[in-house]
Amino acid sequence: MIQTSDGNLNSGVQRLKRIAVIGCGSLGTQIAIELSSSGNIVIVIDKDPKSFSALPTHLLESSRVVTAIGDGTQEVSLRQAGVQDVDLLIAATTRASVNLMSGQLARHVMRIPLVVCLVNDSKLLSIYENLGIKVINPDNLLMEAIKSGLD
Amino acid sequence: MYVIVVGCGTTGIKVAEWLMASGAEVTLIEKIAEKQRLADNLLGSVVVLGDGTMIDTQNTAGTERAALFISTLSSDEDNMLACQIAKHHFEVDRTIAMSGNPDNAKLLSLLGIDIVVDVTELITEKIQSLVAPMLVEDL
Repeated sequence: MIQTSDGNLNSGVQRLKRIAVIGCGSLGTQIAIELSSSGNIVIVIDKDPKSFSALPTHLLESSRVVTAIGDGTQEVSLRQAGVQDVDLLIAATTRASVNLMSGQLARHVMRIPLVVCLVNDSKLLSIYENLGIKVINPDNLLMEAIKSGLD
Repeated sequence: MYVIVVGCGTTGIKVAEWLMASGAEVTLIEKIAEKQRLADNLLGSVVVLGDGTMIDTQNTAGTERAALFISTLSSDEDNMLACQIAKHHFEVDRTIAMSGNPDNAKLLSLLGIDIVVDVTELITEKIQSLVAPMLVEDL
């Protein structure tokens, strides 16, 4: 099960959190910007160096965001990127299976305390919560936001 | 015995043919419509059209009553996900995944897939056993 409580993440500043983000698509880019702007160090990993182009230069120049070319499902790539000692890993590629493999590798082999996988299938949530992975469904969140906007 | 085979590539079809000839009841899952249609004609209306890495498709295929689940997709990640759904959601006794990458094969075993067929290792061993005698002749 998940060992780090969510409360820990939100309980303000003790020290800089180191966060890994797998996949630098539109979601990964947005996550990296948000989390680095709120004072964390973010390592972004993607197979395709072109994917980093949407990251703001000031975050890269100040080393708030660090990029690494690699395959998030491979331990070698994660270690080369310096992911072994992050506090949190977020797997945010467009493929659920890639996110879940990367997430389980990070959680169960590399012992990263908190792992979040983005998966657009809510039915998978309970399976992977039981396997120690937190699953977030971006489509669901979007639908809820739209619905609440219509109320 | 009821068996689910995911993927109608050459391996999936060969495995399914052998299982059926051995007396097993087999359902295959294939997400590409054209491959699904061809395999369905070849094997006799046993191929479900859909994504084997989704709970809904596995449900349609009757995975909850399967004793064995075999995933033969070309992506190791997809084979992992398909087998983990079968194992943890439908409580299938035995899951088998193909893996093209030896590092992934180790990870899949660690994650509870019952049998991982490491394709790279199999081919390497085969080549070694064929080439070794030639090397001896050369000496």
